[in-house]
Amino acid sequence: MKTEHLSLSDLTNIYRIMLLSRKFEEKIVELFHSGKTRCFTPHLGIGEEAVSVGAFYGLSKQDLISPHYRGATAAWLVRKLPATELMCIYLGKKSTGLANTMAVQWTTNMTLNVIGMASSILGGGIEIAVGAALGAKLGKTGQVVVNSFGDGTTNRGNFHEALNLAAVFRLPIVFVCQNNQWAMNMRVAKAVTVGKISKRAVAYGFPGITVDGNDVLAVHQTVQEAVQRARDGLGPTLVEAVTYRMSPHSERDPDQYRAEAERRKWRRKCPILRLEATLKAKGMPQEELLNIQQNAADEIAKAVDEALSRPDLTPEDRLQQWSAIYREIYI
Amino acid sequence: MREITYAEAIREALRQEMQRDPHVFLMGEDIGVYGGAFGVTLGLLEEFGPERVRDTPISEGVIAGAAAGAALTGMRPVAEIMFMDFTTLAMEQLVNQAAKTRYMFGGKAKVPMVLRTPAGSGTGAAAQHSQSLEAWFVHVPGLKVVMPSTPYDAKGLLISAIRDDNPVIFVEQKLLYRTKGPVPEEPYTVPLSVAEVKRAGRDVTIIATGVMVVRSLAAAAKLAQEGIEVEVVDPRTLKPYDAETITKSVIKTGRVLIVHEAYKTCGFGAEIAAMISEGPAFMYLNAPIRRLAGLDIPIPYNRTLEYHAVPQEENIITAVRELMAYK
Ligand SMILES: Cc1ncc(C[n+]2csc(CCOP(=O)(O)OP(=O)(O)O)c2C)c(N)n1
Ligand SMILES: [Mg+2]
Repeated sequence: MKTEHLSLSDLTNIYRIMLLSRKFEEKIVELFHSGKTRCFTPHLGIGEEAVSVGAFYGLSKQDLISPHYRGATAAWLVRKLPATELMCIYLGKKSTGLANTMAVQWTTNMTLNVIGMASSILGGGIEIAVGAALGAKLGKTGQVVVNSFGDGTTNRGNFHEALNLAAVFRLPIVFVCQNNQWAMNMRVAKAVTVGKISKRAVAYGFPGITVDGNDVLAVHQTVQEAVQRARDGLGPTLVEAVTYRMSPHSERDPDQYRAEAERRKWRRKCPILRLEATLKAKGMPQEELLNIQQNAADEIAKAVDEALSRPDLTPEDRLQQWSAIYREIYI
Repeated sequence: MREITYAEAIREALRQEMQRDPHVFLMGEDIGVYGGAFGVTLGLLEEFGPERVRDTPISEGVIAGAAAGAALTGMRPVAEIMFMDFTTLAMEQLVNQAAKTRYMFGGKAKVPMVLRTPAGSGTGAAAQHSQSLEAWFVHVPGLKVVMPSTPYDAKGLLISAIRDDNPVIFVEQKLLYRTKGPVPEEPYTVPLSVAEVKRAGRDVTIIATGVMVVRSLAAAAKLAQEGIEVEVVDPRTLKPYDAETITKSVIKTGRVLIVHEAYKTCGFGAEIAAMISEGPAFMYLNAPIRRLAGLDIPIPYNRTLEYHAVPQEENIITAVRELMAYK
């Protein structure tokens, strides 16, 4: 792992966020399967943390991020949203940080400059992100947009229209394809014939780069270079981060279409363990690593307790919420 | 008779039509080993192979467009769009192409395709995975729109839809997939555009679609204990719909409640209310026509909010009592 571009405190922080995301999502698995959540089904990014943390870490607060739904947990944590607020949505409790009307994978909060996919309809979010980049360019705000999406989503027409428009307008945007090699039961090789998804950038005349998506520092460096390019007015870049979907598609998916050997192989490439090895090589004592791990676990446990102590949405809330909801449809 | 679920009934219709007619094939996202998001097509890949049970990339536009194209050449594609919300991505091909082909080309081409899609809320899947957009399609000449409420109807109507030479939008209700009912093992058809009286009664006519048929029947059973006899009519096909059965029922009862999950504004119920007002049943009305429909809001994620966004049994009971107050 190349680390020159990051200080030890950045490395530690990246490690901490990846761990928090992992522990949060492991907790969601446990809560969902014991019937304690009030949600349709969680879609988790366990094992894919290096992509969202690598892509979204180190931007300015003004820069807009538009994360893929799988990996949104880590993206929200990068933007310092308290884990409790995310947990409330899963548990059907009243969240004050996020809208109670949408799942966390797809929710948006413009005060944090997070356009959460903008949509649970795959592909639409890419167009919205391109529009945000156009806004930044027209408003001369200096903001860059970093937008991620899955491999399967690159087969939507929106992807192609959006990338072409971003190229034609030379927009300040970085596209990050979180290629976890599966889209539900569809293996990427069965849905895309060009081999590398980064090759698709050729059609739009901007750089396409494939990077090891389980190496958080490689993802980070590649995205940062693309962000600089965008900030310098040189237009978009497509970064393909190759990782693996360790989780089932969603927690309702029995996931019987993949070989266990494949999963086993990728488990050994865990991005968190890899960063841990780097930190050790840099001289971080084992004790300190354990300490960070313990703190992350404590923080998630606390988030669950806090969320559980929050009120359910009561009928009175509902009435207030209704009027709010009606009001919020139109401005 | 043997009882199976609504999802199994749909699967059986697909299987039997695929066995009967080599032109029938399936196409959609994750319909193979995954069996579709709701498991409806489970096992069909094993039985018919990947040529006839085709997984596609995430490309809704071309799923609908290629189904229309294959249908032009004489195939009978049954396309699946994973959630009805995503049919919005296939509108160009359905509305501008498939729906108009027969007419534009003077009958020298036809599009015998079916597009199956699960609709409705109640699963906690929020605003973009819970919509009931059937009225969009009902509005378009050239499309047929079918919406079964029981396993029996699901099988018979799907077989009719596959054999029909027009593009048919087949709306499946997520909340009904696991409901059980009697279904004959052999293939049979339920004719398109024929409504069914699901329960006879003299006091109030409820015209309901999809899962609202189930809720209306439950409400009717409770209201019967108060001496109110409700007649429940299920149009089953929303386009072209069976005005005659509805009119007859309204003439008998003189009171009308229309219940659907989709939005009230410009919903299917608005059409039915207008049809009754314009037709012979109008003179028999003893009360204003009443509609119960989904609130005009995006479906909220939170379960409590979601529950109150669409009509429930208790709302139906209240509405019927209110209608009975007119003498
Ligand atoms: C337009 C659209 N089609 C289908 C779906 C259903 N769906 C949800 S996630 C998914 C797979 C997405 O694959 P990919 O983009 O690779 O992301 P991953 O789930 O692998 O992270 C599908 C088909 C959807 N949400 N939107
Ligand atoms: Mg994928």
